[in-house]
Amino acid sequence: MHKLLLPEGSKALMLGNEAIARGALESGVGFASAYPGTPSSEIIESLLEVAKEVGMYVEWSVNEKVAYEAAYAAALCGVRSLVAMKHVGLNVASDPLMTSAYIGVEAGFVVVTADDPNMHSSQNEQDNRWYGLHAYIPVFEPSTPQEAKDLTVFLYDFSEKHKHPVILRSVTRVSHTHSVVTLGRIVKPKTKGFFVKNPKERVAIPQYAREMKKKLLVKWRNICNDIEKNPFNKVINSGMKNVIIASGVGFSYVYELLKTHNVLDKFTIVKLSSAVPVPREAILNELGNAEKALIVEEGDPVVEYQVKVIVAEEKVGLEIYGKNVIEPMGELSLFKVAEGVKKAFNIEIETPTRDFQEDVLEKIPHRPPTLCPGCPYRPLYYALKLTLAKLKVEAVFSGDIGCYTLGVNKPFEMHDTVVDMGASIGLANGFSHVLDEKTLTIAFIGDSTFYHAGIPPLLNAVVNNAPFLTVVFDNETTAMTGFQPHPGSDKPTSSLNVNVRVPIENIAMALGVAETYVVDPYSIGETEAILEKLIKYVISERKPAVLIARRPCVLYKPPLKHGVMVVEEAECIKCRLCYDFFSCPAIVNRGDGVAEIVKNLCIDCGACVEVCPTRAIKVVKND
Amino acid sequence: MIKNILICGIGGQGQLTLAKIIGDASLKCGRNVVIAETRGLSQRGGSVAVYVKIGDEVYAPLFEKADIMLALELIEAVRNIGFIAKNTLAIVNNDIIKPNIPGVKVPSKEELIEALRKATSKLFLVNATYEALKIGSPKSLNMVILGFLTGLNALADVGVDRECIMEAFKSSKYYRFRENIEAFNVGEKLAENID
Repeated sequence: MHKLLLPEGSKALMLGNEAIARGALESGVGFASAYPGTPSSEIIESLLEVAKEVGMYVEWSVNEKVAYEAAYAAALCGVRSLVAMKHVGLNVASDPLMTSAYIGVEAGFVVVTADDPNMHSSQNEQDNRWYGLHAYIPVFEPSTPQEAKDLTVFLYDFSEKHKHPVILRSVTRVSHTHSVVTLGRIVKPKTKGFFVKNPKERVAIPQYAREMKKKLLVKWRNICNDIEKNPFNKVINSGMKNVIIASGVGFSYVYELLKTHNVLDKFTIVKLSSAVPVPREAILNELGNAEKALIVEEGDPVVEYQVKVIVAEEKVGLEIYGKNVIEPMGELSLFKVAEGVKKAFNIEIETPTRDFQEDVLEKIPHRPPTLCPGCPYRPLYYALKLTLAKLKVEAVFSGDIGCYTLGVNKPFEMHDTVVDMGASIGLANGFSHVLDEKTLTIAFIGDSTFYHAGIPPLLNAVVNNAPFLTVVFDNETTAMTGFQPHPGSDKPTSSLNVNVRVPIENIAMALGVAETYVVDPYSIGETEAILEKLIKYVISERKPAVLIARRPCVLYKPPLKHGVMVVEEAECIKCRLCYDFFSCPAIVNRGDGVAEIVKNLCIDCGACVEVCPTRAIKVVKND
Repeated sequence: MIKNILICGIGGQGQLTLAKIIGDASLKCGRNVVIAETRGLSQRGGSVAVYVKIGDEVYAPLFEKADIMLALELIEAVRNIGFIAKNTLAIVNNDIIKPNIPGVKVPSKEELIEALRKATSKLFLVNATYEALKIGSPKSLNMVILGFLTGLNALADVGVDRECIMEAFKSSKYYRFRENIEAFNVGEKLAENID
């Protein structure tokens, strides 16, 4: 039986994201959508695995804005729905987010944002709890996977009660933490609803929107009052002079630290699961007689600012500590929380630390993530580097987000900017107009990213005659986040189980890119020839062109083996091309300059054969 | 009592699998367990660290000092040397994989081992890569390490015995491959032959 479908009362080892998915099942959610992004992807991934059996609708949408709008429409029709995304995905969906607060919902609607403090797999570490204050949407944050599940169930009732969207904010250390979760009862989903026409409450034109805003402010007051009764907020050991307000995962660190040091009884702990708005009365009750308070939260001082406003408005006199004693950057840790507690309350507790003096540490090289052995992006970068050198063309590489971003590292060093999804082609629209004509602009974008946010900027390039080359790194899947399907994949994108493919070349040509080519990057020579043709075209015609380099990700679909790779020692001229310039992890300098295949890394794909000028790397046929 | 286990290595070596089996074993033995993982970008051949905490009451997902370190590569073991205390049990795969950076310089094996020996008195070097290659399944090196850990019976004091680990291993998809079972057995034998 699938873990997500275990019976009520079972205990299961669950990822925080799986717990949120189970919470949706226990709430009778009928519609769920998302665009993949670390650390959020497993929510929809696991729901998709059980969707048919449960009878709910689940889809991978092309981007977060569409995912949000689709799930929102379901909630407008009385079908409980969930939309999930990584923190930066909510920027893409922020347009519908803001106005959905004005319009409200019919059925429960939970927006899951999985934030990534410390940027394990992201371009920034923005704290999405701010969106709650910005949009008048309440934000809840769980401290553990168990609470993530239970809170999800609670939020569907809360959202429905207030006819309002709610945000569930997770972080990497909840979403990507496995722990023991006790399961509740699965509720049969309601998947069909109906739409009641009522333009005054559904159509946000200025005339109606002004009325909606008035109602929103009333709703917000009601929500602020109702938050006081949130059963996931708790006060432990009420009435002490020293108070710690701990929100979300912050509570887990605070509780374990104080418990292991036997000082729990010296503090009042206000555990918060509602970060926006905070429960005003509950906080005032504890701070009214306190001398010092410390606020522990992962990310920005979102709770801290709200508490300071309350304290100022009510003229409560006490010392408040927060991000001034706990470093706001990165994730929390027992060390950081211990240091904060020590500084705020002047107490002595032994701080666990990782400090270590060892000379050898200085010699330990970084190990950045790297393109896998056999990755089709490696020969593509290699071919492009050679072609530009041959044509003596200087280029600015407008980069994007995906495995191919690793091209920024040695040996290629071919990424000059990374901003957000789709910004490769977006920025190229500006670079190509303002840079001198000798500097070629090249946009790099992945297949999934192209579908997500690459289409409007490419159209913009066509209609405004922006002269740049777009190279699409097409490996037929959303590789970095775990092989989720997209409109170009051979797997269905939704629980309807229908596979409709829309190849990128069809889109590029429909947008009016006359010079659109598709190539297999394993054929390095052919890739160079087409690149040369397109680069010359962009420079002479001053128009956009597109090259789609297509070959499946080797982790997703391993290439056919034609034999075993070997280096013919006598033929190797120690030129270093294969290990220092092509730089496949499975080829190394064996010490004297001669190349050597690393047997346990090599996947025998043969992509390096063309790289060797003397063809010393050979495929030895299996018998 | 909380047992902190740091599992470190290179993305793709199977740290998550190791953590999952240890986690399932803890659940089967009725223990609480929290596993903080690294997924996404870092899984593509970068440094990976997974934090496993077993005990009655575990809350915080991360820790500062490990009771046990399972390192699937030597450079990564030393990178995480700050987690090691004098009495940390360090089970380290005796293999170096150079970072994929052109012209990269790495410390010698002797230097790395010397540093680890200075940090802990309980260092076990296991030829896991070598054993896995001998079996014909380089990917099974994590199972050699799991077998070694099981052979030392190193989780017994926190209530996770061999039976639970075997049960968790057998109910995982990894047990379907003969090579993994062989690798586990080799690891367990290596541990038993120490004393």
